[in-house]
Amino acid sequence: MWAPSDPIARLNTASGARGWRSRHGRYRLVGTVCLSCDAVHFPSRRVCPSCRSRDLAEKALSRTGKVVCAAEDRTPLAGHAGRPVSPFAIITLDDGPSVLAELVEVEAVTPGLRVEMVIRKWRRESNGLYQYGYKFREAR
Amino acid sequence: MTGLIGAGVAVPATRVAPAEIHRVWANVPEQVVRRFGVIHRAVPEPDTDTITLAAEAGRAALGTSTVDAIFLGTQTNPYATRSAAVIVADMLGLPPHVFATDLQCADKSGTAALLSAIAWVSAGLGETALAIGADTLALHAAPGDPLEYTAGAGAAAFVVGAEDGAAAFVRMASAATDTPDRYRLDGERHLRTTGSAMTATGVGLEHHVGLAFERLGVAEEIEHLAVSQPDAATPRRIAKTVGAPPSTTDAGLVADRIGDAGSASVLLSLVRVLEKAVKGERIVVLSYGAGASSDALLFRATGKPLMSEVDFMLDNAITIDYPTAVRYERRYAGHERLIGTYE
Repeated sequence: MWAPSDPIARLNTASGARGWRSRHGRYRLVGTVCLSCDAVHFPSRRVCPSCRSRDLAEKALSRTGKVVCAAEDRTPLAGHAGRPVSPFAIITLDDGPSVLAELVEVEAVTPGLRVEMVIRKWRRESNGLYQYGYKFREAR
Repeated sequence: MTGLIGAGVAVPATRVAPAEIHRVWANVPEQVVRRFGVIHRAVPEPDTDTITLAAEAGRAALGTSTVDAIFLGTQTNPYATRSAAVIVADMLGLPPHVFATDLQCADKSGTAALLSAIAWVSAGLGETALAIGADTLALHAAPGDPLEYTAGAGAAAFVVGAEDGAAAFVRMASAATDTPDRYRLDGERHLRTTGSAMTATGVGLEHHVGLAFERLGVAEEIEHLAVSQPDAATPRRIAKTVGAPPSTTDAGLVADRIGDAGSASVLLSLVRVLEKAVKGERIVVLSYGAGASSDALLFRATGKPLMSEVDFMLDNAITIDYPTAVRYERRYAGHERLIGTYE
């Protein structure tokens, strides 16, 4: 079947296995909670950076958050040419951790804007697989 | 009783007006474009495809609940062999023992998924099932093909459960014959049609929809028709075919704001009808898939609200011009990397 959405870029991306390992984080913002000091991390950690504990539990973090700061990138990465210039922002999730993510369906972004997670396509990898992940739009 | 207990929709916010497209191509008389009744059609952004739309609609339908099975009807899966339903199941966080499968039957895929979910629950194979119809037809309309005026994108999802919910399923009927009126060949991007001899004479749409409706055998008056909508004029054409008053299709009209959402259009129409239907009203769902086949489903509304935000999704439009739509839909075949991109 002819896939119309993205050409397969020639540059090398990490193997499909790497995308497979990170899918829960990309699809559902699954991070980790430290069972000894209650710190919440995103992306998932194996060792708590605060207390060095290895006793962590996976947790799907809140899908809503607040924009801390935003910027625009007008020089697209390979594989992203032709896409609209979309702002990216640091977003503090309601559970605590911050993520750097693209914003979609927004015109003006101001710090403090409430946003919610949506799943969008990030890019197509050199093995042809599509990599999907979180982006954010204004909360409804 | 088996019924629809939840619903969610997803439509790209970016829209283009067919009049804009006509300014460039002018390949049919202007009144032909106007007769479609489509004010805007949806344009999938470059980071949107069938899977992301299906995941968004599925998430809205599920909320925090979970299901035992997921059926995804689509004719525009970005993968040839990989199941989109499986990817969507993981995106929704469903447990790994979920039953997931894709269904493909042109624009009828949406009701095929809904019927599979209803059959799954009615047979007692599970308590709840998720049925999604999702398509990005806009990416498969050839530049300059009149189909480009209306081909849009969208997704709609229903949670089916063993209770009446917002609408109780009553019965179904179907019709299918080998009628090649519109199709996409393996390895090709664009849909082809066999021309007006097949599409304008009623051997496809009107014949199959009529057969399925007749078989459904609804003698009493129906209050609502939710139908497949390649354009905004087709619902009334279908109403005329089955002998229902044209006003029965009004509550389910969605194509005027988003164009042809493929297999999602009939489900979007049903969601919109359910937001307006009152207790006891009869709803007939009529889908049509080119190729050709048709499903007819009879539901009885219970008056319970679905809270699907369908009208917000339909009205929430970011209007773009045709050149921008061309860029978003990758209508130019370009280099793999353009000058000015970083690696």
